[in-house]
Amino acid sequence: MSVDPSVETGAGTPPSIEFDHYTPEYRDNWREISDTNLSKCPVAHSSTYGGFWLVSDYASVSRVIRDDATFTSTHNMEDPEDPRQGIVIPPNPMLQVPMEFDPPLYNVYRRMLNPYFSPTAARALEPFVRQAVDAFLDKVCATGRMDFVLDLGNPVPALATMKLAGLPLDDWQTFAEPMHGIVSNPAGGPEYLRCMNALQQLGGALGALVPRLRDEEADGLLSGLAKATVNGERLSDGEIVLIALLVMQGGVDTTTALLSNTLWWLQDHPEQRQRLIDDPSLMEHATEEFLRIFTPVPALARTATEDVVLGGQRMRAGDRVLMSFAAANRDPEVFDDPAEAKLDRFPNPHTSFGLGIHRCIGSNYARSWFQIMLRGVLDRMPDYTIDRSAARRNDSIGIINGFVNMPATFTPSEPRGVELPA
Amino acid sequence: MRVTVDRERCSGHVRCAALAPEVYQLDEEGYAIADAQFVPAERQRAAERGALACPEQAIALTP
Repeated sequence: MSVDPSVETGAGTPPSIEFDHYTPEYRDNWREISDTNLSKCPVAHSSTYGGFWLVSDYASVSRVIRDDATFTSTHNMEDPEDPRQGIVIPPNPMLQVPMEFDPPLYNVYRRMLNPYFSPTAARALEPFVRQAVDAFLDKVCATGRMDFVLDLGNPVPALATMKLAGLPLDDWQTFAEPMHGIVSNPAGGPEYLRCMNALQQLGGALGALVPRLRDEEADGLLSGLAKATVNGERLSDGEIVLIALLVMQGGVDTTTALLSNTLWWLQDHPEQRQRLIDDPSLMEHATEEFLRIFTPVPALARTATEDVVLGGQRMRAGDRVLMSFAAANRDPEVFDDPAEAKLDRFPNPHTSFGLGIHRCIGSNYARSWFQIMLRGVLDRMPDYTIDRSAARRNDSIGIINGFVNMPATFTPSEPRGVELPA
Repeated sequence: MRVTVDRERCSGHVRCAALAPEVYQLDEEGYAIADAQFVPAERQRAAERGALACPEQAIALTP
């Protein structure tokens, strides 16, 4: 077998593309664009946003995401000239703690946070989530119409996230709205900045809760953070607020996007909808397959810390790198018939929660909340029909591939008499 | 059969324990623990499926 030497050394001119993950064109054609990049230029240079490498194939994405030394997550907020600008392209105006940290500091934070996100913690929250799903469905079931995003997919994760954070539950709408706005608008645009501003105000409100929680006993993550130490020191009020905001950003809208995409798809595949209704044991594998084919978080970034050859392309220290999870999840080298959704696909090593040490900390909650919400809809409105002309996709899927709203109709049923959990 | 989870590679996806809870135990943070743990014959298939499910390829099965 002959080997093209340029593949080893990264010599020659790299494939150049104009890739913008925030455009309507990408939103409407992300599957085709991903497949083209996979087959023609799995590692390509894009001139947009100051220039970055777009990495599409599974092997390269998993190399980048696992090699934290060569591909840093660090975000230097003090110096915009520092190429290390974190995990979003263009950079997020707020530091994402601890996602934008590297080892060894990252591991200290992660170990502190993990117990709040373990499978045991997720299981413990399930009765709360079931009650919330039943209560939100009770509000709409007798009318025969609901909005899958606004009446279920947004409120349930928002309420559950506030519960795990230990925040007052009556405020959930104040938190959910700007979280939704941030992910459904182009980063850096006016709507995005308005929502970011609202979040910073919410951060102020969160910060005001912290001093009392330093000594007072209370449930939830916020109280735990107020008492925790990192390398022998207590976390500052500011850090606690940043962590809490990141948890909410992760908890609200990502699971929403998975649910709305799934319900949309099940309308096109009534036989698969019936299969899921008839066979609850299918839910485990089906959840992973929905995660793979919809990839709610389509891409995240790193910065190269040294010169490195990846996929035959020579990257330089300081180059920005965007990992397309959406494309890697369609790589035919790893997934047979990648365009096809197979609800019993196994194995299914998708990248939708990331890989390596930065793996989505909320994945145990995400699976659990998604399954409880989907089960609720399939139990109580199994014959739903989405009004496709009125449903709206996010303006941009650069951060989250989801829907702004999704109205639907169904055969009305009697409420079960369940109140929202207090 | 014995099963070992590489603690450096395990990233807490919990796919092994979801498929084969009788083989894969988790620590309090949600990461799998197994150090040359013996797997009885009737659980070998479950152990293999759990290993295959791991997106980090962190699970080794040895005779």
